[in-house]
Amino acid sequence: MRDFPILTRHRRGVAVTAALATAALTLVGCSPGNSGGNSNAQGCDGGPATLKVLRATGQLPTDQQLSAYTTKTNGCVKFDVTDVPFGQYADKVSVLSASSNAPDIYGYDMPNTANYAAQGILLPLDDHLPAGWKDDVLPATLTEGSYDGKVYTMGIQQDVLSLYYNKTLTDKAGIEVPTTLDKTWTWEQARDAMLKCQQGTPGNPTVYGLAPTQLGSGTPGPIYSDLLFLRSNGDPKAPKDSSAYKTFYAISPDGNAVDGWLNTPEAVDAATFYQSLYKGPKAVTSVTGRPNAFLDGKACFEMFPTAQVDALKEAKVPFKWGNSPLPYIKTPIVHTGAISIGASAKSKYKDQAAKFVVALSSGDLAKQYAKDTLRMPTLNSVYEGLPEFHQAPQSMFYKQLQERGAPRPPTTHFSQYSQIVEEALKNIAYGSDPKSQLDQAVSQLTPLLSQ
Amino acid sequence: MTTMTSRGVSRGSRKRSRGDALAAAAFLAPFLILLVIFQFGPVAILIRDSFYSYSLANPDIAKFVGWGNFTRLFNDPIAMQSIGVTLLFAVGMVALVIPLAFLMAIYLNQNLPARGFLRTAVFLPVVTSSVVVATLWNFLLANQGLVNAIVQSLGFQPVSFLTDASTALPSIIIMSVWQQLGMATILYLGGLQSLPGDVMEASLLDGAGPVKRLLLVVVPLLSRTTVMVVVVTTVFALQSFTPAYVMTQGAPEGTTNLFVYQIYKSAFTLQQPGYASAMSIVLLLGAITVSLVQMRLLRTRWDY
Repeated sequence: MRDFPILTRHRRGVAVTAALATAALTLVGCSPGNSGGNSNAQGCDGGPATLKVLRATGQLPTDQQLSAYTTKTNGCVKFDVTDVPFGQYADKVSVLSASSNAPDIYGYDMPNTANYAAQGILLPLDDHLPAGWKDDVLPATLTEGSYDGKVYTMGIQQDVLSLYYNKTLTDKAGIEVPTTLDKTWTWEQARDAMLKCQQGTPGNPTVYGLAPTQLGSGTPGPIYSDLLFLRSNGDPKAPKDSSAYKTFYAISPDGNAVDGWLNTPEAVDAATFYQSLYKGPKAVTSVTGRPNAFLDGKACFEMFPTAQVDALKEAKVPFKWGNSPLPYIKTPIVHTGAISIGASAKSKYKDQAAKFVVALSSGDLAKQYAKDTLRMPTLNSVYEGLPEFHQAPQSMFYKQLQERGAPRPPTTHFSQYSQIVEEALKNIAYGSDPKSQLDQAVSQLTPLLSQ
Repeated sequence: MTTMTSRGVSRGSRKRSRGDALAAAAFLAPFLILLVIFQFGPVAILIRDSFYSYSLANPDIAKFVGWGNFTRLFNDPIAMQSIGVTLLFAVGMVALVIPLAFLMAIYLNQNLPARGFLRTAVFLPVVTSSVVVATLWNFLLANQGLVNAIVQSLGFQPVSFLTDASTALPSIIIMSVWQQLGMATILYLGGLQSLPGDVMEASLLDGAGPVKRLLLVVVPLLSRTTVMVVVVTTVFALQSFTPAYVMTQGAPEGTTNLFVYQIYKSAFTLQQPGYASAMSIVLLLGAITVSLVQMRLLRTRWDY
């Protein structure tokens, strides 16, 4: 057996130093990082601040907005931005918000407002709201940005779904597509038109009647688009204890109950219709399919938010296209909500963070953003002040928001609601029994919502 | 004098031994510190968290629930279905990987032209990002993907590989086998190349044909490699996440809802990190138990 050679004093010293250095580096690596140097600007109201921003990649607040605000504050407010892929954003918020390194500004999806507010992540903005803002903002935006009577986000933009159509293909099929709200198709009418325009075998077409969804994970089920089928088979004007009324809201007003709201007979009927778009002789779309089918001219129709307008223009597609209001079953409805910004309740710079949110969500910066991006504004004053929005299709989008906009089911457990209902809708599209899937979703959600 | 000399030697030996121990500790320290911080520490926290109910946003408001998360797990039909799916996934992977990797290794052990290139090609999926592989197979298995194009060119109806409850799990098993085959093949290849030449020569002199030699000499002698491949493949399968996350999101009807994906959803989407911690503990214990059982059942009787 061979002994290890004895280390010299020098070598032992090197080894011990290496060990200590590793430990020190490890500890340094695990400790919260410096958020960046503060501004040296003089005369800053509340002192100079570097606000940590957590945003989804490519979303609000944009680099231009941040730069404009720094200029506007004469360098008093600077930003340290962390970008996260949209799909991982909610997870990141969950983890970071409780840490000592919590962001000061969140660029998040608006339906999460109640959730984040209830958990103490967001700061109420009521003390900072501009005069007259509540009268100026879209009602659905105000509802979606509020929790327990307080406003937590003001909204900068709104997305709205519409039915994009390939005019070259619909003309060829002899279909006249409505472009105004008063002539909106019902889903039965829309599906007939899609079937007429579709080429090839239902379920395996060469040209889809309705493009496979690109929303969410690119598979059926996102509640932003697909829950609308169920809700539009309800009626908000029906008696409050009727299943038609409850179907429209898909969750109780306090956000704590779904039994009798999500699995009503009307919801099951609508889910059965929804399934028929994917399965059977009247199938007009596919559970999997080519991405960008509509942009590639391989689909007659597509359900997509306003952002597709830019994509179509940039792609310079070789066909004519237009927008039709989103079809409905009994009650026209579109979901509101888009990426918005909020201030952190745990921020060291609460005042500066709140002022930043308010500045971007109102006044010149909000108007400039709408003008630059042509994203639907949340303020009537911005809409009225920009002639760009009074032309088709933007004018139709805005009318949909005003007349048919409704927030996604408001609950402090939105992420759970969204995940479980999406899974149920996905399974329904894949061919599972609609009633059992909705009942299963209710039984999963009930204990979670009561926590 | 003798006593004094022996005492002197003993003192010198003790000093040397202490020096060795100190040096060993110093060299091991960097690794041990990292191991404690990034492995044992989190496991200890995981065990603690599994007895609490809380949300990620407000971890300070945690409620002690004792064994509640564990009893809930065994009464949760979705979690139990997920465990069943994961075990099926593991069985499917092991059942396919072992024979395929063995045959592939035998093929690659021959004197082939471009042998190095072939070995690299077989190993390439192992070092390719799981997300890239899953996305690639998503396109291949789509209703209008390449596989269905071949199916249709043969006159059959297209198959909904990833959206039909009967084909979704087999589809992700095949994808995972494709990705992990290279690792098992390389392990078997190493085993084949270290087989004792005298035993092989003796079997040849005894008149054993190629099939007999393969079944009665090579396979038994490779049993230690087989144990390792089975354990590694099983642990990989039990920890698999990407196919469910990228390709199916657990659908249809939970038939591809692998357990680690269910843990992820419970922790982050459903905001129940305590429950997810309990699930992780069960997975850890399950993986250790399965591995021990496999090693016991497949223990080798030969050594060389």
